[in-house]
Amino acid sequence: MKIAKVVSLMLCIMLTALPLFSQAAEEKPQEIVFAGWAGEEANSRPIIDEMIDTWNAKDTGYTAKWVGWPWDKTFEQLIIRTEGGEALDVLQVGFSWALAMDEMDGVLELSDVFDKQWLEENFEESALSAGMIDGELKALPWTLASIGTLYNPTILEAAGVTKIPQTTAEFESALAKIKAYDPSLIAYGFCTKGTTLTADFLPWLWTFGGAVFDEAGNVTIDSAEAVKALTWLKSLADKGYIQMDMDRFDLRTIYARKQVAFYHDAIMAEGIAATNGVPENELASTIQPMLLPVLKAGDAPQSSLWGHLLQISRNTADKQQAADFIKHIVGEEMSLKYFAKTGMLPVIKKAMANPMVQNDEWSSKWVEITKYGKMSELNAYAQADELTKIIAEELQAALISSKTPAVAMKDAKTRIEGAIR
Amino acid sequence: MKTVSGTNRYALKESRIGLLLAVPALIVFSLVVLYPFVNSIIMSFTDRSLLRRGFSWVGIQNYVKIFSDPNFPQVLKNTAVFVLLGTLLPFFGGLIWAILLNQSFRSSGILRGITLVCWIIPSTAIGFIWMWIFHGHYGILNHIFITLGISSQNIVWLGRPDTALYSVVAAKTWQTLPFAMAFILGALQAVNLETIESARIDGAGNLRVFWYVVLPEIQNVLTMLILLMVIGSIQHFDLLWVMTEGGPARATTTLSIEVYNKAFLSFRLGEAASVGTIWTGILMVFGYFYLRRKTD
Repeated sequence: MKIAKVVSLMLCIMLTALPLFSQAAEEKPQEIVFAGWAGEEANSRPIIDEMIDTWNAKDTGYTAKWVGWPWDKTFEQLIIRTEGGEALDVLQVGFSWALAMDEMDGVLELSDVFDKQWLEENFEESALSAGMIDGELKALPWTLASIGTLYNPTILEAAGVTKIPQTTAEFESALAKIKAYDPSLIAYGFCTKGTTLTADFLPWLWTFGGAVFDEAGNVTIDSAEAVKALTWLKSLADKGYIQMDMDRFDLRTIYARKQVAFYHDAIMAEGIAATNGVPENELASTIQPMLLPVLKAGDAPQSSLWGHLLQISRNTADKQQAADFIKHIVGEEMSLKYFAKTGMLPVIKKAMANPMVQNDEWSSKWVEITKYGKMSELNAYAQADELTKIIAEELQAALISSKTPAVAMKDAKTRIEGAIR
Repeated sequence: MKTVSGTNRYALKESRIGLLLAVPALIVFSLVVLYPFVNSIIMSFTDRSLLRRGFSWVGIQNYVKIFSDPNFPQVLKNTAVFVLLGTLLPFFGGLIWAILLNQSFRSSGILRGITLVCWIIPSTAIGFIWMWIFHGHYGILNHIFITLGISSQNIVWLGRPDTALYSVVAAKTWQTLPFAMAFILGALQAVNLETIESARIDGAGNLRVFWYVVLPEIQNVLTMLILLMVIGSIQHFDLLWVMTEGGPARATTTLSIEVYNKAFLSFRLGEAASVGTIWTGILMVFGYFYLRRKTD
């Protein structure tokens, strides 16, 4: 009798709930899910909202929705959710992630959804090459620039640095003057925490003539040049010019408080400084881009190519709608708005030719830096993030004197070889 | 009046209903706990990666790789130091604080409430609070040290291998001390006051009363508490990740951080699962003692 009562009760609950589930399934709207990190950052959130709102105002039958995470969590989230079959459509990815997303078979070939003519009309071949993997278009560029070096002209002037340093010797001399002027300042905001450490190190590695891999793909990070680069950086840390436990987020905040003389960042650094509290009329005297100092006069300044790419997830329900959404956000109107709000350089030809972009002083300076932009060697591997972490850990070990630079670079080589084997 | 056989039939029906009611919970347990646990052990014998589909069986290769990794002994050492200090400091701090709060004085109730706030705040928020306290450039601890003349310059607490792990332990002590305090305070309040009074009449001082009267009565609770705190410390991830991400140069990388790095940075699920299995093995030893103590 009691069993009958329990069973009847369970049946009643199931029968009551069933129509609710089926109704929910029927009424679910068709969505385009745009996933990444841009919509999570204070300076770009308003424009991402606008991109979505303007799309939703069109009668496409699809409602766009933003799903995002902080930058350093985005890659793992994209991988986990793609692997888990979650309905994502358009993905914002970094250079180093595109190959991994492709290798896990998580994204679609874009030549199938964008017609050749549209691609040729709107993108330079060099820009499209950023999204080519094994001869196939797997990502479209959204913004391309380089990681540059920023300096605070007011601090430099106050410290008696009269000329922007162009060589490593001049740079070191400038750091010494800044430290002598005010020991509480961070003379050189080199990232020493997290994986951004590797991003800051690579251009110096190239400056000293080193490389992570040679042309044949052999690991060469333990070369004499690489050890020399690390030894030099360690000497800056030993002299107190570089501070440990600093990531990009910390440095951006402290830079805006005018406590850092030099640091590295992407093109939107000026917008971030403004968001972090630098008044509009003080921006020019607080933040200016410069070329990375070279080892000796006449060498080419180094910089690491940086940008955001867009991919279409294999889980998309309608690849053509996803492609149309990409056309909407990289289109001239949205690209120019994105540029105006965040300083992100557009890649679409018409937007690049627009006077707003052409006459922008900050962007023009950044174009100079981007001329020397070089793709990180790690991006050729799907395990780029793991390799980045390995290098960062070994650099840290050298900077805190747990290992000598030579041992750290040798260990980095062994670990990298193990990771890519 | 029911016959004996009639009573048995009734008991059988009751047990069937009990079983029926337990079935949903058993299904949920199997799906949420048992399946991932068994799957993770199986996965530890594969080269499964999030970056590609399919996998191959690799036998004990992942375990061999982990134990031959020159960095793994440091991971075990970091875990041991973190568990030892991260258990003992809040435990003894909580014990002292509970004894103080057990005295009926004005505002002891308010103090109990305030203490519990540290336990209520989410781990991530605590991580950020302590990260700012220890910050090498604008941290308040450096400001206090310099103002008091203890230090002449800023110390990068979280950026030095000799201070980073202890800084995280300090934050964990602050976070888990209230848990220990609440546990011990509950036990203290159950101690027979008449026995304490008798001991005092016999001339026992505070220390002797605590050692010979109070401690034997709360011993079981303390043992259970230590086991629970050890298990919690071995599992701990949030503070370590938020404050140091396992750095600098792996100086604060514990087993939990190692699993995360292997799974979500290297995307090597097979290797992550093998570290996780070792980790679970260690946890099970303490879990066994905990359950045995609970049964006793």
